[in-house]
Amino acid sequence: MASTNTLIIWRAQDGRPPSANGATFDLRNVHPVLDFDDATDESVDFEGVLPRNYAGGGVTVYIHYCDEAIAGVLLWQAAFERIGDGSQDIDADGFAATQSSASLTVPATSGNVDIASIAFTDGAQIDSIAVGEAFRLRINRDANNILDTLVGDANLLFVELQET
Amino acid sequence: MASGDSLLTFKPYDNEPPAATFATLDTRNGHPVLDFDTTTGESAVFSAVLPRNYAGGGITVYVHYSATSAVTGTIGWLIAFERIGDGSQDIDADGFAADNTLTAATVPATSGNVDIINVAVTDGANIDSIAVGEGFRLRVTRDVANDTAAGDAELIAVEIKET
Repeated sequence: MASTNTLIIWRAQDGRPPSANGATFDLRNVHPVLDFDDATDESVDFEGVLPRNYAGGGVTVYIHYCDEAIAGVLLWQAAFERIGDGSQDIDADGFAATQSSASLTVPATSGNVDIASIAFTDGAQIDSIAVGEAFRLRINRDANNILDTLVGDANLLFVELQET
Repeated sequence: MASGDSLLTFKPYDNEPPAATFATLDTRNGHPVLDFDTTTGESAVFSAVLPRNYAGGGITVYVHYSATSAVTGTIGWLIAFERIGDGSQDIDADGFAADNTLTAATVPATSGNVDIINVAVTDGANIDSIAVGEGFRLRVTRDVANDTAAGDAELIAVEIKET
């Protein structure tokens, strides 16, 4: 039973930008980070194979980030794409529906790291990825949402995938 | 219960070098290594999230290394943790806890052989009180003040295990 186990951890340098509107790799006090713009939605993709200790439940995506401001609200979005065993033509994208975080009040110290979470139910929300199958996880800052009021870049440090 | 479990393994390509006095990426017969100088205490830094199977105990850090050329003398290491956490560390500054010492060990008699030495670190202040699911950094420094081997030390891997 793998419930609550960490499945995969990605760092900023593990991310791969999509062909357009990609988050930008940067360093902050030599910490690798990915910069997400405050006006345009930017994204990054993380790839993995769903580990064998995944027991078939829902998953929670944790996003470790900080910001360049000390006030405002931020929203993250995430979506899964099952690559699988013959199920996805990788010449096209096939991400499932995007799920959103709550509105996050950023830390009052710009370099302090907040940990956001987005819970996914098993099945369609995770594009029905099965154990041992490859997949992608897309993280997007919902910068054009009127609720995202944070001025300046958001800096992503880590993403953890946990079985809920 | 995760006692005895490997929590994380870091390789040379995972290094996030500090701004100064950093170990240098190199290869040895195709093996990626990080070269640590014999006179200046150079460092490498690795970052991760503490996995959910960590049960709150002490942590043992294993350093796998070889000597570039030395077949006599000793090599030692220092390791330190920095909790990034959830609002606990301003990453614009560094906040590493005190160094823990991997006592200098006699290097293998064949310079390309890999030695594995370790230090058991207690839970709490010595691991900067990192909690499950929190981001952190591990700094590895060659303990040049207390080792005697000539030439570079080559770091091959670092394993973190719950003690």
